[in-house]
Amino acid sequence: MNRTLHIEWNTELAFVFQNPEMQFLTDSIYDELAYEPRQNNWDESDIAHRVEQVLESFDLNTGQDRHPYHLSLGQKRRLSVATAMMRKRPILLLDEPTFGQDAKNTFAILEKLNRLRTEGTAIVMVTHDMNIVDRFADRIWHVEQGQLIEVEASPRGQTMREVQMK
Amino acid sequence: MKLLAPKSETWLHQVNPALKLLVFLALLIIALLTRELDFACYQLIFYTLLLFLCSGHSTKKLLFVTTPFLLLFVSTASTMILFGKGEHEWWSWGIIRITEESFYRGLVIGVKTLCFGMLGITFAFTTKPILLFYGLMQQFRLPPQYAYSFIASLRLLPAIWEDYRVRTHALQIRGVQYSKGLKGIYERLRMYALPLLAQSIRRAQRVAVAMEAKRFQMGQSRTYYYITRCHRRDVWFTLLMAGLITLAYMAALHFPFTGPTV
Repeated sequence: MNRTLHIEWNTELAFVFQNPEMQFLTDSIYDELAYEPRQNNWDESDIAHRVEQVLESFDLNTGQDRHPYHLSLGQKRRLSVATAMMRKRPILLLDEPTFGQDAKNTFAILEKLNRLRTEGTAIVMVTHDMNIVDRFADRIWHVEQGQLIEVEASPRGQTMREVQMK
Repeated sequence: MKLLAPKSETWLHQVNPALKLLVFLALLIIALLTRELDFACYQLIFYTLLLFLCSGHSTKKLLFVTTPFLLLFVSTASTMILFGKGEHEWWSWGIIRITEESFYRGLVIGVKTLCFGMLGITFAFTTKPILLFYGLMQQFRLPPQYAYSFIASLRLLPAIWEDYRVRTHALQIRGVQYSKGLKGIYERLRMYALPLLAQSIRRAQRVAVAMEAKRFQMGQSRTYYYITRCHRRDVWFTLLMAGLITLAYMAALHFPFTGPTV
């Protein structure tokens, strides 16, 4: 069946690009995180509170006024994931969000994604890390040279469906 | 680049690219110095035939690429025709003054522009840039650091275009909206300039480090992955081009068809 998915950019979709610098818009970490909430007319005190929370949970407490370009690669990546998670959206697309992260931060990002998924967010993630795929994916699309070559349910996905059936 | 891929490779593709550049530069200089309309027209006819018959590209594609040069012909020729100097006035109105001399001079300049276009397209459509730089290094002793810098910059162009596309998508997804008018143009410039510049500088730095690691600054003799040599066909090519320009000159001398010499 040929179906067309109509998505409202920005309101329904968040995207984490492979190169985090390409999605930065402002001159400070705080403004970067506050950009979309401000567009959606959040109260400034709510924004400050949410930014505080996000910085803490993403281990980005390196100074809110720092320019995003001055962060390390790992921090830039976490900031780009954090901006995508500032407000809830039904679809989240991520291109290698854990690349360049240590084990602790990788686990923290995946835990947050897992929580979002259980709350109903559809998450599509590109990764080369098969451990992540085995542990977190429900469905796996194999892509080779730009072509979709296989779709399979991951062991985790099968287990989940079995649990649901019972 | 799909545009530059030929339908079939011809003998022009096999010619040593560095020698081809030298011969084409000589032809361009001759075209530049030409003052006779007949000679310029015959050159144009031969260069057009060379492009359409020997480049190995489809006629449709060549027509698509060469058509804009007609606009260039009209603009350059008309500027000279309408505002040039001369004694035999044909028509004047305000600052516009058409004379016999300016008319023919305008046509010569227009035809010369077309000659440049045909030669340029023929060269671009039958030469691989990588082999050109390898040829310049091996046959004309161009220092490798400059040649490889050019090759690297050519390779980086698609990457810059890809960055531009990604940035456009990123701005769209993050819901960036611009003001109207000049302020909007400034905002767009600001949104694109920093990330694209940062990426390009990083890439350039990586290339520079890689080149230093491979001792490109030492100026010693190197071995090359692609070997470009001069063959007998290159001699034939040079003779053919010399013959072509001589033929054009002789034809202009014996079969003039456009009127007075300028």
